[in-house]
Amino acid sequence: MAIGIKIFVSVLVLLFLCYIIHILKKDRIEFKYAFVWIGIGFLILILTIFPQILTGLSNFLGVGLPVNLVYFLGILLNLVITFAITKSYSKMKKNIYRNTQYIAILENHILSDQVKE
Amino acid sequence: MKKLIIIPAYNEADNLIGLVNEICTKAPSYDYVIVNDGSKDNTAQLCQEKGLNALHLHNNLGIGGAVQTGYIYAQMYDYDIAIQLDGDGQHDPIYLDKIIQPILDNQADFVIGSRYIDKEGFQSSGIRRLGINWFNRIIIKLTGIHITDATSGFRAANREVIKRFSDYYPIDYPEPESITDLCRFNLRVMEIPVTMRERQSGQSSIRFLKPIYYMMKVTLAILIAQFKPREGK
Repeated sequence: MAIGIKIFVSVLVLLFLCYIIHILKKDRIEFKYAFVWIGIGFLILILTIFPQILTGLSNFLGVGLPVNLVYFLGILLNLVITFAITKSYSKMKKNIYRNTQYIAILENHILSDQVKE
Repeated sequence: MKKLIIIPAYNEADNLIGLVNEICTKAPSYDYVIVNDGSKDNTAQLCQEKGLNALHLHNNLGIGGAVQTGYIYAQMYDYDIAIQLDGDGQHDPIYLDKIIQPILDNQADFVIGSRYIDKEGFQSSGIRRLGINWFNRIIIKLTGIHITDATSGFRAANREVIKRFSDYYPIDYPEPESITDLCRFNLRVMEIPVTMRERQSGQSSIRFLKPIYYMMKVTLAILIAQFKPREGK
C-alpha cells in the first residue's frame, strides 16, 4: 500500500476518533453507539497500518483480490449497523406510543378535575 | 358493574354526536370515552364544546394504539367491562346488553359481535370478505377456535382481557392478532350475531394496496404469536 494513502487514512481516522470523544463529552451520543464507532475506527487504523492482515485473510478465505474483501466487509458492516438502527427505532416508537397514550389520559384527567371545580 | 364503551375515532366529527346521543338514550348505564386518534378535522373542538368525554392523542397512533389507550383508561379507572364501538357509526348500541351477556354469565372473557353469523345487514365489500375469510381459516387452524368475523371492531372484554390488552395490543391491523393472543392465555372467546350499519359518512382507513400488506403482516404476526410463551389463567 502506498505510504501516502496510509497517512491520509490514518489522519482521517484519528480526527474522527477525536470528534467521537468530543461529542461523547457533550453527551450527544450514547456510550454504546460511540464504542461501536470507536471500534470501527481502530479496526480501519489497524488494517491501514498492517495491510498484511487483509492479504492474509483474503488468501485464507479464497478471495481473489484483497480489495474485494474490504468492499465485502464494508457492505456487511453497513447492513449490520442499519439493521441495529431499525431495531432501535422500533423500541423508540413503542416508547413514544406509550407516552402519547398516557398524556392523553392525563389531560382528560386534568380537564375533568377542572370541570369539577 | 362498571361498563365502559371505547370509541376510537379518526376524523369522524360528523358521526360522533349522533353516536354519543344514541348511547345516552339506548344505553344510559354505560360510560363512554372517545379516543381521538390525532384527528385533523374539528373532532377535538367538538368534544370540548359539547362536553364529550374524550382522550385526545397528540400523535396519530392508528387503530391499535388508539384502542389500547381506551383499555389503559379502562384499567386505570377500574372498569369491569370494556366494549369497543367504532366511531363511524357501523356498530349499533342496541347490541350492547347482548354483547356483554356472556361475560356477565361467565361464559366468556371476550365477546365479538359478528356480522356473518346471521348474515344480515351490511356485509362489506368483496375484497374485504376474502381477507376476512382468510383470517377466519387461519385462526381456526391455529387455535381451534371457530371465528366468523375476525376483523370485527365490535368487541367486549372483561377485566382479565382489559389488563392483557393494556400490556400488549398489536399496532398494525390488530383485530385478528389480538384474538389469537388471548387464546395464548387460555381466555375464552365467543361470538354473538349482530347487524352492522354501513358507515354513516367519511372514509375507511384501509384502502388501496394496504389490504395486501394487511394480509401478509397479520398472517405472519399470528404465526409468530404461536411461538410466544403460553400461560394458563
